[in-house]
Amino acid sequence: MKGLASALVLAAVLGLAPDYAHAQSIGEVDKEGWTPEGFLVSFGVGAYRPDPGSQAFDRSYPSGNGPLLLGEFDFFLYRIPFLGPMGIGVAGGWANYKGTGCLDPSGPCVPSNDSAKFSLFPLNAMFVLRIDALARKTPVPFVFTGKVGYNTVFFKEEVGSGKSSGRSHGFGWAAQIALELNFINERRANALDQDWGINSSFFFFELAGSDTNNRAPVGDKFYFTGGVGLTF
Amino acid sequence: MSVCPPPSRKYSAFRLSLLARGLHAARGMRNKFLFLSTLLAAIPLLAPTALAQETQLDAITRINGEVPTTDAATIYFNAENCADAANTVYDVTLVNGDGVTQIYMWAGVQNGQCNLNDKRTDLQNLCRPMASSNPRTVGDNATVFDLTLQELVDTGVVDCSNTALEGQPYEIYSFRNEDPGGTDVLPEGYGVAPFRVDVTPPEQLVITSNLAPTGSTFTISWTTPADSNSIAQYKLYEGSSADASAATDTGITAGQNAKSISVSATGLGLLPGETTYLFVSAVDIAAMRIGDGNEGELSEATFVTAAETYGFCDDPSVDCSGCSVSPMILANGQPGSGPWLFGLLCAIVVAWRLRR
Repeated sequence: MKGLASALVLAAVLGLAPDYAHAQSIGEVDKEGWTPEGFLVSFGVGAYRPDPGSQAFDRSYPSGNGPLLLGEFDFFLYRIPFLGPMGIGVAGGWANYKGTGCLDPSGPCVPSNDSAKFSLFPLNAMFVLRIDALARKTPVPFVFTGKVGYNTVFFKEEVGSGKSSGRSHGFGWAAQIALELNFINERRANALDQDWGINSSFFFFELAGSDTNNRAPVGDKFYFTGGVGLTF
Repeated sequence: MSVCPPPSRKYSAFRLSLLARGLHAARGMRNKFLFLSTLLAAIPLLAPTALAQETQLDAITRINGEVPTTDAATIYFNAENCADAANTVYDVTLVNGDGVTQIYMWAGVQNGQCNLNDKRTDLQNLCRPMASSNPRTVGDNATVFDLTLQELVDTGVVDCSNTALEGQPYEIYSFRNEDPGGTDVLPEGYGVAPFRVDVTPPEQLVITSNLAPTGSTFTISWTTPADSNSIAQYKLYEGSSADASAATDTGITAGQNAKSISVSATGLGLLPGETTYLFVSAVDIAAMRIGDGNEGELSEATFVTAAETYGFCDDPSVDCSGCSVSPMILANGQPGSGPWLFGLLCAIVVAWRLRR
């Protein structure tokens, strides 16, 4: 599985080779002052809590939803006419939880004096389809994105003086709605595109799920993030 | 009727030279005025440095063979020194001491201005001569060696039995070569070595943490003591009973701004199920070295019990094997995610360059 994950990232890097990365290959310029989109970066904050259905996590960490900080980079490989660009994306994040150690390894937790700290680092590699036809062809500035892929969650735990760490992986998905901000001032948006290559900036809200439970149950069937992003 | 523009002035060569001289004269006047006003403004600023020489700051450079640490801003005599004042010896090093062969030493309160005759003769005990005004010989490196704390106490100025929580400030005046006699002494004729006497230990710490914790690590917390600005260190003690007098120093300390001390059961040599009592105390800065100052009374006991503790990864249903510590840290022998992130960074840079 490690090899698969590495291959995905390698593909992402290779995807940036000049032949593929050339902006014209993923879509035509259909508006004056508008260059084709090549990639996207975004940063979001959300709530994530391992809830695989077992009580293992809840015993030591009865409360807390993170927060989850998640950054993402998407590279668009091809533009589907009248729909939007598709490509691959990599996201990495961090979340942290605080709780107490228990005097027994299972069953109801009898809390000890030891504090417990759990940090997780999700790393997601996904195929991305960004449906921007509405924003491009109509005045409605909404963009919809769907993602499916492979999620890995690295984690580490400190209970008292003891330390543990682990990694789980599994299927992951996400659905995003974004509000593009170009409509506020199109002339300035075009100028930003010409000067900096920034096609658009946007706010987004994303619902996602992660089944990263193959070793330790650290997936979250349903979590969300919200934040800002830029397309280039 | 049309309005004509005003005719332009035409000057002869003679008139031009007159005009230029007039302008020059005006500028000269203005420059003189500016110079004078600047000088007037600068006088109050320059006066303190130009007219008044600063007091020479001598220093106590050694107490009982110990030199102060580099970060020691103040020299202290503490309760231990005062308990044996006759055998507490110290050195005073003079600043600008070249050519000074002997000094007349006076003890004074802080800002006592013992260089002024009326301060030395008043009846308020602000300044008193040390060693009956006998001169002291200045040795190597402009240092007067082996003065005793008892001499300071004998002046009646320095109180070695009762001080404020953060100490009481005093000064040693060293009059260069000549007895100050009945005159005011100019700054170049004397130096001042400040010091404090602090015989009052810090307050007993008030414990705010659980007094009977069970676990693999123990954290003892306390409220900030009243004299927290003069605390240099906190010490952890261990004992087999709640009697603090039988406790021994563990050697575990916390810095001056600490609010707690943490120690693991293994650090205390405890196996699961074993117990011990822990105490903490505060040590103030009244010493040449950190940790040697006045030490407060030990806190109330914290009764700790060592025990195995378990978290998420210890649950029988959880498998924490095959792990990398984190994406940023490569576990031994495992390909972590550092290369991933490096690749991602490269991708962003390459893509950015291509787009540009």
